[in-house]
Amino acid sequence: MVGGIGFLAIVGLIAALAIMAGLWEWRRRSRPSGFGTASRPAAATLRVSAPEGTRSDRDVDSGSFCPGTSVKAALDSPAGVSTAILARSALAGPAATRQSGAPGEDEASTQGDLPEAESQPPERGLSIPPPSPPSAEEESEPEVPPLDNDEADGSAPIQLPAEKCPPVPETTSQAAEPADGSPVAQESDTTAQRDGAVPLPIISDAPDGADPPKANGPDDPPQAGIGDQPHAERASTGGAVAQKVGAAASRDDGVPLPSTPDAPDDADPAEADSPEDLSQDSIEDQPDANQQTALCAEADVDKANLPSSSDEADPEDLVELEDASDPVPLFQPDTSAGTTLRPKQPAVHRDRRGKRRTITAAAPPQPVTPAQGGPARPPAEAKLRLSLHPIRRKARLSVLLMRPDGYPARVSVLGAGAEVVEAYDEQRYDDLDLPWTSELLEGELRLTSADGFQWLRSARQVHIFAQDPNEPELISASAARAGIEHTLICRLGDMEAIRLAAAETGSPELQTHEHWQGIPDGWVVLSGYTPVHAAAQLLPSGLRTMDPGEGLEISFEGGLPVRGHVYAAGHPPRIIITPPPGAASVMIGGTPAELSSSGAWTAAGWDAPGQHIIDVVPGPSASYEIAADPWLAGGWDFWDAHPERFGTGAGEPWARAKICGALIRGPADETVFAAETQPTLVALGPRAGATLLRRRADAGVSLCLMAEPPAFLLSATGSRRSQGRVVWLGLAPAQGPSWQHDAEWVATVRSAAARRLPLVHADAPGEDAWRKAKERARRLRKRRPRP
Amino acid sequence: MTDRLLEWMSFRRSGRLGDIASDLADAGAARRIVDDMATLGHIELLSGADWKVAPPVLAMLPKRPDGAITAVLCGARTPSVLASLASACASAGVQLETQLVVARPSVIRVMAASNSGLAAAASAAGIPLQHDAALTLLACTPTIRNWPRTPCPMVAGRVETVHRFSRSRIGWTASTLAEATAARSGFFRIKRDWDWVSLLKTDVSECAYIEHRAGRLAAAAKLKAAAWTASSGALDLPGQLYPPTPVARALALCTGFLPQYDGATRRISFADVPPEILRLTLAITGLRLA
Repeated sequence: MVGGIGFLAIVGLIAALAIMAGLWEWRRRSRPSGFGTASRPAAATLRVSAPEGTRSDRDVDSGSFCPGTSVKAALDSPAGVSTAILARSALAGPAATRQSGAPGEDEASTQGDLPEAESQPPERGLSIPPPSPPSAEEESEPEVPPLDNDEADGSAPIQLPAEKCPPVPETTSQAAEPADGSPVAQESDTTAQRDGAVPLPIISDAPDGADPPKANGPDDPPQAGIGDQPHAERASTGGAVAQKVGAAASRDDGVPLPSTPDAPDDADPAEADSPEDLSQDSIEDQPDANQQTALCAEADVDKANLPSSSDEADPEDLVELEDASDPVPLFQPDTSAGTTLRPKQPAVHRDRRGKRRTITAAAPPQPVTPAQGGPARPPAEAKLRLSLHPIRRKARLSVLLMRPDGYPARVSVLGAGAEVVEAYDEQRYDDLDLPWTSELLEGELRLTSADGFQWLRSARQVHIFAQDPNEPELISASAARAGIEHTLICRLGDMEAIRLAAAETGSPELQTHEHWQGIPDGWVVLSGYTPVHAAAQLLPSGLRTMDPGEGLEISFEGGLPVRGHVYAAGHPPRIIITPPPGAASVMIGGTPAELSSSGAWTAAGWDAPGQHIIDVVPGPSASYEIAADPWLAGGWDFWDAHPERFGTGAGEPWARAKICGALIRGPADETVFAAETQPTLVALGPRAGATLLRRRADAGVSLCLMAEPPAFLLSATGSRRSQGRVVWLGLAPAQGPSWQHDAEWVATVRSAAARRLPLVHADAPGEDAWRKAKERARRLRKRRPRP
Repeated sequence: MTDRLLEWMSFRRSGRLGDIASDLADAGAARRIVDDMATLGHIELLSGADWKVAPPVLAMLPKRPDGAITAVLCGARTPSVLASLASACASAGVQLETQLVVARPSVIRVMAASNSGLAAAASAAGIPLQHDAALTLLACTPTIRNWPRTPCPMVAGRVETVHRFSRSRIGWTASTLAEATAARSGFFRIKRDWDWVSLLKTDVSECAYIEHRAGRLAAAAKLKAAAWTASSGALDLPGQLYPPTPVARALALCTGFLPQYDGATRRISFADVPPEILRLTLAITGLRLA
């Protein structure tokens, strides 16, 4: 009986256990398989079987699979924040992980925050051994290289940009939607167990193109992305393994990927130099992972470690070197900065199109007397730029100072607060904002610079503006053109006359801009003036510029154009007006023009240097400029075109001499005199100046710098009379040589005369000059020079 | 046409190669013309494709055996300059001669019986006179051995082509970056993705950027590649050893003309080079007479 009861109890117990086991198994099977359920056993397996390897450890430590200090934070944060946390964890290393708690603690906290289905612990003890306790992991940590090593070999600084690097949405870790939390939790859960674990082995049997979340089925190796060791290695420097997984999987097509060149900090130079290694080029030629994931961290790796970064030169500078055949390359290689691809140059964006310079003066500029001695030349043209803001209902006016040939790059405009205006280009200066007062457009507008340059805009009854394809907003025009919309500025009292004139040319009704800010009292802006044809009746004289005429066009042919509408003196253009203007009058520079037999229009002085304006009334206007011959306007600059030709020995006369074309001058405009080396070479002036020629050590030539051109050269190879001679150079100016008493000159001439050295290459003036020189030296031989 | 180009340059004063209109110089030949004008002393080439016209100067040629004193007009040339020079020559009694040159600016020569007459004409015209321009220019030019160069690291990374200047062949031969890196000396032209660089190696670890003409001469140092004919004063050089602009300018200022190029022998010939200029040229270029 007792045995039966005992048997029943045992059976019941077994049955209960069986039921419990069945329930457990049912419950286990009923759970959806996922990344988290499979990664734990895999991670545990890896812990048990993984060999030691520093690189794998670092991959684990720095990879984004390691959530580090706070998995909860990673779960609660969006992907980008999670990436940043991971990067910080990678920088902090295992120590940071330990500070925040053991992996088990992280796991516990993670589980506490996970949904119930995710926080089930049972699989830990089912088919695989349970994970090592924290103490065991800490024991294995000495085998894990600390991240300080990474910093030492230069990888740590490279990780910094990874924090800044925005996450790439297409990557694996970003595919884990933080909204539902589960994928990120799974990933975090997985990596939490790998924190501080022993190194992971390389498992490269992941399917091609496998997406880790999808590939992590119950039967799949869950660490396919991690198994791509080279990619993890590559990404470890950027601290974004998760972002690299997708790209790494796509590259894993069975061909072992080189890891050494990708991680130059780990690269053994000997290995890198071995021919078996893939060359740097082959790495650079693989654009997939680099370009598809577009990780800025990886770019930093290249910058920091690839030798080409410091070797590469500025392309623009080297192009100049190539093109210029300049003996002095402008390129200065930057050997100190290893992370800069090119020498840094301050990026200066000077698009000053329409840049305005506000003049604070309340009154319009008054004509100012040019500075004394300033250039006497006709004033340049001053245009106006009209800006109309339809929303703000604001009008603004600025002055465009034209820049004819010879005008400086910077001018200081007087009467406008001494405003310095810089050249915008070769045609004009920057805008100059003027306060639009009632008096501004009353008469002519004349501006003068401190150095005497002038700009003039003549007075007119109506100011016409139109679009210029090269300028923003509206630019003043000399006359209206048919078929083009114009905007007019006129006095309020002239508005009706202008409306009538507009109607005469077939223009639609003008639109009045009233009460706009910026328009002074008594003035009005009219827009929409689009003349269709010539005025039916002759317009009033002040409004004839509104008449487009019969569609006349002014053009220029031939000449020697120095730049746009600027022609060289002696080569003026042919002025052509098509069709023939008929009854319209043609003026050039205010002088009535005539049609020559060649079909070009000319007038008195039309080809003289200066600016000229062609006025066809009614009809268009155009301007051109005849550039004066530079020979008559100060000549050309003399500069040292080869200043750095002697890197050393800058104090030598041949190094200080300036070369420009075929002219060689001293630094203070001295005469440079050279001669083939002789034991004695003295250059003598006609009345003063004796300079010993200095011999170049590397060439058989001697030279000197003299304030005055020499007249004689004393050349001697020995002390005998036959070993010396005086060469007549004849370079001294006929008038104006120095009369200063030069004892050295006296002594030299006396010595040559005493030795009766022959005078060679001398004509009659030369013989006379040498005779006078000897007489002067004899006269001055006992006289001491004045101090 | 190039007289007109020189006049345009004189009015323009400075500019870029791309500024030259097609009616002044063919686009394909503009670079060569500008380079020749720099050799003749009319302009100076600046960095990149920039140029700037030099002021006018009467460059005195080396004294001829017949004793004639001749100078050529170099630099900017406008109608006013020519008119001023013509007037001065007429007043000083010296001869002014213009010789047309095909596809290059005309050579304007001033010939006088003595230096005094030439100096008087130059002074009257207001044009500086450069005495013995060739010798003075060479005297102020560094030797190829000391030619300015910029030390630089060896080119690394991907390059498209590498050429080495062969001293024996006096020409370019194909090479590799590895060969260039390992070479102890030599002159290399390396084409990278975006540019060419001229690299002179003086040691395995020492290399420098150098102007390519100077680099070729540096590679050909002490090479017996020059030939000089005493009777005519013709100095022949291999075309590949065209000297840098200052040296070429000095040799051109022995006559006022560019060197002749013989396509068959691929050599250039500077005419009327006197012995003293020859010696100085050899000292600067490092070449030797064959």
